[in-house]
Amino acid sequence: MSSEGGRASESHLGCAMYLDSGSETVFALHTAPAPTTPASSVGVVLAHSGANNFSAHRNGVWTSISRRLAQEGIPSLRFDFAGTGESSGDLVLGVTGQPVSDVVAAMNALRAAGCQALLIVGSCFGAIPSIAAAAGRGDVAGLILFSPPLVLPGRSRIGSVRERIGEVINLPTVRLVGTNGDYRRWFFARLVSIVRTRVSVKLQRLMGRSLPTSGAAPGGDAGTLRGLLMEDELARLITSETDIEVVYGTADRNLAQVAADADASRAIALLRRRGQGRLAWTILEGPVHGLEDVAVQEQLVQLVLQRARGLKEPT
Amino acid sequence: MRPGVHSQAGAALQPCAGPGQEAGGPGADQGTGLVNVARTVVGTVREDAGFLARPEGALFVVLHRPVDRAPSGLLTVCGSLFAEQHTDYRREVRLARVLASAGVAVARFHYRGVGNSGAGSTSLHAFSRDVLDVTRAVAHAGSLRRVAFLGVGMGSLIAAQALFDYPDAPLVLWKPVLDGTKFFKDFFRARLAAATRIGGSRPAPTEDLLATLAHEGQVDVMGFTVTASLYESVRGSHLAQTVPRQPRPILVQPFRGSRATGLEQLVADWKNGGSDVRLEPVKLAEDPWFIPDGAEIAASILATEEQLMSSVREWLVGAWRTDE
Repeated sequence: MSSEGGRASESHLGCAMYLDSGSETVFALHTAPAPTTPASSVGVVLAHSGANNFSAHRNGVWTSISRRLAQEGIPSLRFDFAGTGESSGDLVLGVTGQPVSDVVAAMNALRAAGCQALLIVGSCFGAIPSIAAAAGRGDVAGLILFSPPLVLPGRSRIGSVRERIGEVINLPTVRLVGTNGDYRRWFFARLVSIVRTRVSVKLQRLMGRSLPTSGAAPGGDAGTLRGLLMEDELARLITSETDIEVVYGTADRNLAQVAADADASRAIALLRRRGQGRLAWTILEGPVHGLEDVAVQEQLVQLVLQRARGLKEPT
Repeated sequence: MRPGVHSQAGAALQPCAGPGQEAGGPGADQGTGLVNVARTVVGTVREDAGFLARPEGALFVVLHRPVDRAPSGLLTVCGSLFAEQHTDYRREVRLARVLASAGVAVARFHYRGVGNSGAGSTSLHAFSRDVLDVTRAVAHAGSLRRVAFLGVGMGSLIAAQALFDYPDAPLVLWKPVLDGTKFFKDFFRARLAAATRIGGSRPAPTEDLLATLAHEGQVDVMGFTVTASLYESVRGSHLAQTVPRQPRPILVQPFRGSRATGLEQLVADWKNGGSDVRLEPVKLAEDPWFIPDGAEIAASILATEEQLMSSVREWLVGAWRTDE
């Protein structure tokens, strides 16, 4: 049942592509159902975990997902971030810029192939630019995030005050606050929550009480509340009725970091409450981060297949 | 052509089975021997990614060639396996670009049953057949007379088997695996370190793992599927016995670590057999069993890798110049 030789009798068709992404060229593999299988209007983009990774992902998990999706009539596209695999350039670990451009290029390629709605699957670092790319468009029906680093070590020190204000007050946010009642309610509730947390921190410091630091990342300041990365984008996606499933393993450091960060935990609880089921939080036994267990890999494959099927045949 | 997508370029290429199109016919691209090809240019290097169609399953291949001249020869990269494949991947891409800029075509590929290639049986023999399939197809399509091989880690044993069909081919070895049994012994042992790192329970003893391998035909080793056919074919393989006796130019570049042990004797034996061997230790230390976390690579490591690649370029170009 191998596939890429271009024989029509096979279960899927694989094709290499190079996509323009800013000044870089991003390598991608498009896997389409065989011509005999009716193709779904839903397509799946697979974003790997960044450094030291390539389009097939560990143990060929992305390849396996692509081929099994194709057997069910669902096309997919897996790609290498700039600076990884076959792509040009150097990898940039950021929440804006090149990695986001790479995901957008992959999404556009799948849309150009005829997909009307997209399911984005991002693994570890790959989840972050996937969130950013998805938040800026209206064709993403779902996101599955494998062990996303939603709390970054030293995040509180990354941006200047100006940059951090810019994260909150920007054109898309202001537009949504003005036009979308659900988002407006979430935005102001979040603002109140942040202020309450900050006041609480100040008070505890004044009273000489330490804050929970268990599981804090190396290099982080003890007692520093770091907050949830991509919080605004996640809120926007939920508001625009995009289903998001965050999947961690019990052994994941990224889960421990979220759990240890009071601000992030509170933000997630608020998002889940406001999202009314649109933000699912799944914890699997073992490591999801790095896909270091074959049994967990199979659970993740099944999860993607199930969600993609659900989008293909909405109930 | 859709904006932002360049799956194909150049009149010589067969239409690609890109999104929204039907698959191309069975005929391969004249210049590369590949089907469903995409082409790009990185600096002075033309890169074609596509599939080599074979009855047993398609092989994912990337061919790097100079844009401005006919290549002087072909280097086929026999990559490493498991976590090491991830660590080496970008290094091999960079080497391919360095060599192609210097006029050498480089073929890189995924073994059948690995990465983006089609499913297939996994064993040393099957992998070396993949090496030969790629080398023959690319050399034939590009009319390339000279062929060399690079073996990386476990790929050294695979490259060595391919040499039987290319008696004069120069051989480059990066951190070669000398003993297949020891390779798997160390790989299985690394499960302990992995379990400690993620706070998991102590993994099953190696004896139990081997019993499962024999019974079920495959086992999970830190998120990689190890098949019984691969294990059996690698166990008992020694580089000293696998490399054919014919004299040839050999460049050996061990990295720091346990694999460097025993190389001096092997190099001495090859020299006694008439081969022109250069042993060039590289100041790179890495744990082959784990994929490094994060993207930060120290400037010193990058500089060492640059040195590694320029050594290969000068050595290979020199070896072929001597051959003229």
